[in-house]
Amino acid sequence: MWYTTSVRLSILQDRLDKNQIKSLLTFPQENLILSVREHPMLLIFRLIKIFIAGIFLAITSPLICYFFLRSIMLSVEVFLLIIAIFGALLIREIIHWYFHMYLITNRKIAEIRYDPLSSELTNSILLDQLRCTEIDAELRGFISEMFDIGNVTITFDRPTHQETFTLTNIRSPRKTANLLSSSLHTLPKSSQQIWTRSKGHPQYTFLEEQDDRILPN
Amino acid sequence: MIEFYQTNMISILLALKILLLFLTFLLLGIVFIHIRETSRIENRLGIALPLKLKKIVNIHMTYIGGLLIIFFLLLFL
Repeated sequence: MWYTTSVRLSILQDRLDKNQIKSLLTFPQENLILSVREHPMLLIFRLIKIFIAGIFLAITSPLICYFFLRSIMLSVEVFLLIIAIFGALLIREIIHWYFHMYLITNRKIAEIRYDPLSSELTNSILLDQLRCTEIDAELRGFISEMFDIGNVTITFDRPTHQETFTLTNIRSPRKTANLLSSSLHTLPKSSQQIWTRSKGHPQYTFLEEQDDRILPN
Repeated sequence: MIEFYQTNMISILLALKILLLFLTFLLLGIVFIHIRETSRIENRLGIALPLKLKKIVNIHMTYIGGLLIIFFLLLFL
């Protein structure tokens, strides 16, 4: 379908490439299941909004300056400055989108969000410690249906710092939910060592099995 | 009101030009710190920004720097 065609601009790639993924895999024998950013269409909408607001202010402010102060030079200065401010806002928006990503591997689920100069967030959930009980896909509204944008919510068997983990506004939420369901259900069990006693080592005994005579007073 | 504008026009214009110069300087500073912060995050994550975006950022930085110089010169004209 035409609306599922990916955006081919190299700046707006919502999938991470191999080198980027390699730097995010931290555990041994960690395999990637999914790595994704927010859908680029939403970024484009935000950029259009900022662009329209910038154009509006870049036209009206110099006109106001000219009619009140009758200075062409000041109007030109205001125009140039407003373009510079809104240009910076556009670039900032792209950079913030670029550094917000979701990573799902066979060992962890992570949300990484770096907004330079404003905030940082790294939210990792270790799959060795808990299990996924529900994976829900959600598409709301006309634009979401049209561009196949939605949320995937993952619920766990015990509460983490948040009750659910949500991948917000990602591409193809239904396919992603199916992929995660199949991948996370077939994950290997926890590799924690369980202590066992073999018959060949009688020196290791449970306290209840020991004779009263050898117990210290 | 109009009389106020007419009598103090030169002072108002000068004040506004100084304000614009200050805002441009502030914007340049914020953009510069933002670039520094972004490159720090790039190093920490091991994820580099696309080259096209870096070029756009450099052009924008040059534009703001040029504006600062022009505004500074216009202040004395």
